[in-house]
Amino acid sequence: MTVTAGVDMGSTATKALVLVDGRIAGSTARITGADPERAGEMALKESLDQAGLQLEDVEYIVATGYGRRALELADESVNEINANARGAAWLGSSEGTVRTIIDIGGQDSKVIALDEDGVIADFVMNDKCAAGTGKFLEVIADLLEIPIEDLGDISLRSTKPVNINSTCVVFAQSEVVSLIARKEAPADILAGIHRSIASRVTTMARRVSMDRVVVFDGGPAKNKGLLAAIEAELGHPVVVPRHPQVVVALGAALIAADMLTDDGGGA
Amino acid sequence: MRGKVEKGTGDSVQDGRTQVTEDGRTLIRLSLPGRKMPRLVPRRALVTAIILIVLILVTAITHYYVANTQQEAAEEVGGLPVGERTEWSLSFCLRVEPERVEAVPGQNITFILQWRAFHYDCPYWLPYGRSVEGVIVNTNITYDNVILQEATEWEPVDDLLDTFEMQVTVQATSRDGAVKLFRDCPWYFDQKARGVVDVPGGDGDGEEDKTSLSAWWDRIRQDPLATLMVLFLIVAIPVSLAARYATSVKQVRMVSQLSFFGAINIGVLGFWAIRTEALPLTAALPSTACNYLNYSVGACVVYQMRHYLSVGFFNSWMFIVVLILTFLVLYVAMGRAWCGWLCPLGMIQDVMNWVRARIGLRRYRLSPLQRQVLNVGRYGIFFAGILLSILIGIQIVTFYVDAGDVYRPICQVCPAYPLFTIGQAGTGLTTSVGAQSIPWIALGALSLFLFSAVFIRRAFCRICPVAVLMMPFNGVSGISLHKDGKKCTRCSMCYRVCPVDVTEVWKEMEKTDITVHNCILCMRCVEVCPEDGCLTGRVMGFNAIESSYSKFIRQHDRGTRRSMGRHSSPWWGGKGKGGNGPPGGN
Amino acid sequence: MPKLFGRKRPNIRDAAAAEVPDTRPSAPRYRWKGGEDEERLDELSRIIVGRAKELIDHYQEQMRKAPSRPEAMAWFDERARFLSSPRIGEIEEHKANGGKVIGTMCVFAPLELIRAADAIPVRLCSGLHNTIATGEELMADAGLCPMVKSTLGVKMTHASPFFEASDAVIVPMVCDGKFKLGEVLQDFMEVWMVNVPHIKDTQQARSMWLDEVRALQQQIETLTGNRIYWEELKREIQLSLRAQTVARRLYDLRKADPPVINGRDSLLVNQTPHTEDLSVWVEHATVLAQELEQRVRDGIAVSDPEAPRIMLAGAPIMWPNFKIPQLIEESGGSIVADELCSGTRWLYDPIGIDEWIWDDMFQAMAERYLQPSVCPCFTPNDPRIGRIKQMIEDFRVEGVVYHVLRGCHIYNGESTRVKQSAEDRGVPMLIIETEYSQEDTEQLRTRVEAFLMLVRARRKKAAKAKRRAFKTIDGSEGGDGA
Repeated sequence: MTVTAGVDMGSTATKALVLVDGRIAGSTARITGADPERAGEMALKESLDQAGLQLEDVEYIVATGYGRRALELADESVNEINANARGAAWLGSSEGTVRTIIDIGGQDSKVIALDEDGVIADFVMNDKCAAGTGKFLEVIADLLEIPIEDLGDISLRSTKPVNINSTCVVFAQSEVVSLIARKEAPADILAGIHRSIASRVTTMARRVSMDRVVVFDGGPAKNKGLLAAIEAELGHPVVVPRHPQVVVALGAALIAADMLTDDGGGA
Repeated sequence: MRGKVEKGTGDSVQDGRTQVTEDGRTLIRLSLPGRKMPRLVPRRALVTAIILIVLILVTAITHYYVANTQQEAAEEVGGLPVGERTEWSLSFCLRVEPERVEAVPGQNITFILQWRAFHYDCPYWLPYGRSVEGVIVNTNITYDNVILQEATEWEPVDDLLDTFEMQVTVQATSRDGAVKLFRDCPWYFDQKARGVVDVPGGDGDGEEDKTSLSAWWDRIRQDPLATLMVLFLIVAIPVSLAARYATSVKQVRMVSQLSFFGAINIGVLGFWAIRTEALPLTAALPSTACNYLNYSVGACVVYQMRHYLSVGFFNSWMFIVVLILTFLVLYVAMGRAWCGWLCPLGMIQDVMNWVRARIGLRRYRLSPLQRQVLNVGRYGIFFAGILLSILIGIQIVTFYVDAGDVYRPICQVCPAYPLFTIGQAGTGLTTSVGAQSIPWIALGALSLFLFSAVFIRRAFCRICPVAVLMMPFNGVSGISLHKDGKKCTRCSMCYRVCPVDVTEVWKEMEKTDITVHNCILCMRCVEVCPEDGCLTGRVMGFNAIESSYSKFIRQHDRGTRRSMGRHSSPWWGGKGKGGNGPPGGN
Repeated sequence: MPKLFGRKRPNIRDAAAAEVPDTRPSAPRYRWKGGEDEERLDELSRIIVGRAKELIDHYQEQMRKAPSRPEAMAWFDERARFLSSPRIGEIEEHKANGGKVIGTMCVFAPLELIRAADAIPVRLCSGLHNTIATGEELMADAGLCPMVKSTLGVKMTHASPFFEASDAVIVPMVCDGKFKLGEVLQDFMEVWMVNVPHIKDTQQARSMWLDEVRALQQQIETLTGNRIYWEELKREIQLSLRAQTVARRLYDLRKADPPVINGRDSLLVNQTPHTEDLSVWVEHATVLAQELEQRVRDGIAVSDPEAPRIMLAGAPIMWPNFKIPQLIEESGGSIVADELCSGTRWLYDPIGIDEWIWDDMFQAMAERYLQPSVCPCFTPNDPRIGRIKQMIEDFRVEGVVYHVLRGCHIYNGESTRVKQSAEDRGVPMLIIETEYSQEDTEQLRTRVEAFLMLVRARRKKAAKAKRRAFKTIDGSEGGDGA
């Protein structure tokens, strides 16, 4: 049996996934914290435990994400754009070929355009500004004292989303504080925040062509409110994989499998 | 028809019969009988060839028609009784007295030819001791020449018209019986009084020197095509040599201009009168030295047009049509390359320019407004001249104005006239009326021409009236200039070196054919463009000269060439073609 | 009575025909307290020079790692030491003998005039990162072009001997940054401002440019005390033509597949004449060209033949700010073409002389700097698009990396159009917006690596498509099928 593993060393969360004979055997996500390498090792171990395997069983480990060079265990590192594309294309969709991937991460967001064969045609990244990333959600969740996992459900209850004017996350914080003081409902505020993120991301995305089917992955993809906001901006439904946070790690594991078979398979 | 050649690289776009290559040339697939594979022919070559053939046919037919109907026209015109004055006159209207003569072979016939002419229009016909030998040379009805007596009586009959009468005695011997005399009018076709005498039966034995060299030379002189061939050779041989050994196109062009100038003016040397008297083709050249030059090969087309209009529009419009058609035949073949490569006036202007460059004086560039004004002025001069000629022809102008003031519209102020004939007067050779009476205005025009040619490049070409005839037909000339806008860096060198300030060659980035109406096809821009393959000069669709960096740098000093590296470098570019293909690899 | 012939033929057209702009203020425009603190400036300057040296050493080490690097690069390496290059000694000597040094910014200053007056031209566009903070003390615009701030900072901290040696600097007024740079810099040294017409095709623009160059000539003659005559201008034009010819030769050599010279090496070779003596450069560049031609014949490649062929376009990349080229070539790409004013564009266009008389020579020289320039400061900038497309074709480029400096609106504004033009040619493009600092290297690396993989994947796909299209004689599919 072929066992490969992919580790996504993100700046906020570290994800790992173990692939056994082309099937997902175990996956996990944990906070990166101050020591990325340790986080990566722990995540890998957890996934292997889920799969019931040991580290020695793994034939090839590929690391990806910002901290990819930090992981000593890894046999190779690839960049997360390719990994994401590979993972999303492999997962596929019942609706058709995946053509666009919107990835909102903890500290960045990117949009990847694929062509009919699943090869990357273009991509655009935002890793300089926190607006439009998961950071925004973190900050607001903190401020409103709501757990991050509930953000989506609460925002869906909104009837009248608020307009958030600030483009900068830090200034948006002060704006939210004043909104709370004005007794705006948290649901409306959250809906406004989601709209703001969605609008930023789709504006960025329109610089590359936005063909359907659109896949939305990354940690914040679990947020249903954000999903709704993005669908509203685009005007058509968007597909979210079952475990959106680990798609990149999945892609890394697949690339690892490729490396074993035909020596350098493409993206 | 030129499709978007953006996608992919280096492929041609096919569209039915046509195919566009990556350098913008349109090729047409021709299936010729007897060949399995269709041939690819440049579209321009096909178009030009078809137009040329059609034109030549039309011209030939018209020539023939005019030649044949002219006789009838002449007859119908009717002669005028001797001594009778009239307000209306037609030039060279021949009157024969008696009208019909019957003769036997070998019989000497004497008859009187009379004609009226505007004396200033026919320098050939003035009786300054010219005599023409006449002998019947073949069995057919025409006799070749007429013996003219010294005309000692020449009186102006009419002050206003300044016409005159002449009495001429003709002696002719007919070889066979069919010799007739007709009144015949235009000298356009054989430039001589032509008459036919009816001689019942019999052969004549005329003097014939068919085999002697001078007679043979005479025949060449009088055969339009033969003269053209000689002209062509006098130009083509030095030009081919120059093309082989010269280092720049400018030098080849100078050789071409000088040899053509020599060819047409070579009569000045005294021993080679290439000039003939019945030369439809060379009479329609844009300018070949002036008609007023004794030894000139023909006359400028403007002269001809003006002349025919002046002598009576309604009778000579046919000739104008023939003239223009003939002109077009030459023009379609050459385009305005005539201006750049052969025109003697152009040559003089280029020489003046070279003198200025050697001295180091700066050149005066015309502003766009000035260029526009001159361009419009060109049309003004031309059409004013034509109008004036017509008015003279229908006798309106001379009715009110002394003919002497406007008797030669355009030719009066053309610099070629005093330029070429002044030499005649100066060298003491046979003078013509033209030389003797160069009006001050003509000398003034000449000085202005020479002076402006020093400081403004091709100053006269900007107002040349002949170009008016060329302009509408620009798109079909056989020689053309093309540009590949993708390679152009807009350095504007082509504009700066252009003698006639063409801006399209610099600014046009989309179209490939940039032969504009005022471009004289001197190919200087092609020579100076440093980008490989950007500008090309084409003859009948085939590339004659292409721009390349090596051509560009060769014009600058040797020290530069040393850093160019050895030409043996396979992809550098060498002598001609650009080398922008990648080395190594595939 | 001026002689018409002989060694010093005069200009027929007087340079005094144009008016020199009177831009020098009577008092300094700015108050800079930091300028009084000599110690701090010295310390800063030491740090800057030290850091520059580190960076240069680092890059040079990386560049030397390339397998089979041409030997002729040795001279260029030596000169690339920049702030400690032997050129500085030469310039000092020249100054000690009473010569002048005239600095230039951008590519518009006519160098032939400077050289003809026996002055040394030096391009002062700066690639140093540490001087930006100092520059921001007076140009407090965080979103302004880093090159402008860096240049100002270099002068303020006296960090560069080239700057210190310059008696005047020519600043063409091409973009917002340079407008204000000229003003501020005038507090520190003599600045000659040159009006550059942004629409350059019209008659009035052409004559304005000629007048501007005449004004520059006056200023050069006044500063150096030497009049520029026909002989000198001819000599310098011929030198420039030699340099342009060699540069063209090197340019054509970069079309080789596989590449015979590294992108970074090429950039360095093209940057060296900014500060070096042009005739010496010509000699060494000729040697380099000969060596490269030999390599082409022998089939020696300098990098992986499978490396994606990348074209680098966009805002100037000044040595030692080789962050982007280094990143690209480290990640496996090979820069075979560049469309940078600090690279190919410096020496690409030649001077075309029609008649060797003063008027034409002057006009040819002046126009060479303006007309073929594809800097986005001109509008409309269709020629640049045409040139990029043509380069993509000539060099068989597989991917374009478009480098934009943050705050450079003219390059940034053209990025979409360039991307679409590249796509028309079937080539993907990556836009990198960055500054001088090294902090975003990792983020850029992600992008560059993804881009290179994208290019490789496309190439594979194209190869597959080609194989699939090939059919053998009996109609079956040839090659490797799927």
